[in-house]
Amino acid sequence: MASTTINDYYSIGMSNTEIVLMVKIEHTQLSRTTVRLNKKLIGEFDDSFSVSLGKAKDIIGSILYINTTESDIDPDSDMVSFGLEISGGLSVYKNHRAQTVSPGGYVLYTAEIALIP
Amino acid sequence: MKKYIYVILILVLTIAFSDKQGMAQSEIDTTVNLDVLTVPNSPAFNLLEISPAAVDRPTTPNDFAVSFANASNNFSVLPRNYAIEFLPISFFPKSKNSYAKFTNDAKYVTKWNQKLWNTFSQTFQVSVGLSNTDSVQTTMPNFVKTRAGLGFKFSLVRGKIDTSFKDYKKSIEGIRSQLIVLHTIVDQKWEIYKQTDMGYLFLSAQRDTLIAELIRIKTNNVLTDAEKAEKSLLVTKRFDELNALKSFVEEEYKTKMLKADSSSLVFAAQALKKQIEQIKFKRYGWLLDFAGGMVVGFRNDDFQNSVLQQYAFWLNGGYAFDKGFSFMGVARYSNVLNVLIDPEGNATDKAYYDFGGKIEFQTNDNKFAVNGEIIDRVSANAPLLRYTFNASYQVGRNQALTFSVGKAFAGTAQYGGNLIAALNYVKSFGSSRSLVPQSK
Repeated sequence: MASTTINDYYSIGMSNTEIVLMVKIEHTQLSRTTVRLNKKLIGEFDDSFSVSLGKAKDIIGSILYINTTESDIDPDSDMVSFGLEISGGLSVYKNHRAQTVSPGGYVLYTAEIALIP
Repeated sequence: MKKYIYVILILVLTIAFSDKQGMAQSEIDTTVNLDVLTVPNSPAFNLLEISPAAVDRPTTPNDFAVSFANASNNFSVLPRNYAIEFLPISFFPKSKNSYAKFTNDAKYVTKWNQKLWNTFSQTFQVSVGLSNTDSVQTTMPNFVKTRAGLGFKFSLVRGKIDTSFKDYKKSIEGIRSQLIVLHTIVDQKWEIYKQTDMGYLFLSAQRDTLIAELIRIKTNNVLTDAEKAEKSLLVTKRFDELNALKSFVEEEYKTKMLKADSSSLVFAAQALKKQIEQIKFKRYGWLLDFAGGMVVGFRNDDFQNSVLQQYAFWLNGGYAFDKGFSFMGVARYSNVLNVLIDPEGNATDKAYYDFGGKIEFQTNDNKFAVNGEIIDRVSANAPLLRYTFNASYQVGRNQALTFSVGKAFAGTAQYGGNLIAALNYVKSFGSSRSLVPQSK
């Protein structure tokens, strides 16, 4: 059992641009993710997904919480990974974490991203 | 020299397609892997008559495979015959399979044209082979020493899917349910921690202060852009320090929290992993492939000086039982160009009609297969027979070794036969089929 923690910030600007979150789960592993914006639940998702968070000007100063539980089921690889991408801001935010676990092991990823102007 | 160029070309293609597969995999998301490797029988090799088997069992093709064939020398010299085969459509984006598409499940795929396209897109295969009679020493002008075969193949009837895949899919859904239960528990605990832990609350309040400061700077109309950038930089530096400290504190808590809840999922995931490794995918029932291609000869080994020598089309199919035996047949039309001289001294074509059958036995794990086949070549003169005994063994994941012995047609105008004794090595990439585990 392992865990990885991401605390970061992302400049989304102050425009009307739509901010989109994308989570990539590689190596054919299974995962479940809960996404919140401050205390509001955005949704719960299986494996890789992308979701709109709203317009930049409406969500400035918010905290994006992403909790992902990922399990190793791929017979080819004991590698689990978590790719986080947020677009729509001043640049594209990317954060990628990968690690090897024991066969059948799993990892909890938590990410808190402050959406700054 | 040219054969080294071929080897380099094949290696470059191998690496290129291997990398492509890696890239594709990193883009694949909600998928599971099934190993569908079967020994490929390239139409290109068939046309060049260096294929170990002429009657093929229609299979789910690999994304990319390389074959090296080397008659009689047990790989002691550089192989003279090469073939690559690949599924062109699998290299296009958006070619991702779903379980419904993969199986043509009548519940989800209702239109006949969708079914036809699914079958075609999953089975349309292109193969390119090169054969070189390097040992022939001749000064004959325009002698064809190197021949290239270009072939295609696609399925018309694909049979039924192995039921073990349904069990696999069920297992994946089972493990997903467990994963959701565990995730919910962990997520709730994490939410409680965020609302009650004094350290977390303190650091989060610090972060909120920094965010508010950044917003103040950015919305300040008095400051110039340069001043805003300078002040923002100072705040973000403090942000970085705070984030590092916050991550350290949270990580410590998570490590303690997760130990208590992990065991049930670990056991279930390990059992599933073992199960996945034992599954090998195959189809059974009525199977039918359509294939065709042509052979180009290079005079004096010169690529600028080529001639179309032969073209052929064939139907290949039969019935495969879900375990053990399969009975296959082939009907092939081929036309060899400018091979005969008529009484006026003009070169004319010669057509052949091949009809053959094959009995194959395959072990339940698909690793070992033996078969015997016989083909009757009907031509204007007299029938010619080709018969072979073939064995193949999967030596590792995505790698197979085949052995073949028998009697060949022995050229276009001979009644005798050559001994076929060949070892083929097959390396494939993309014999895993990545599928969305849940029918969406």
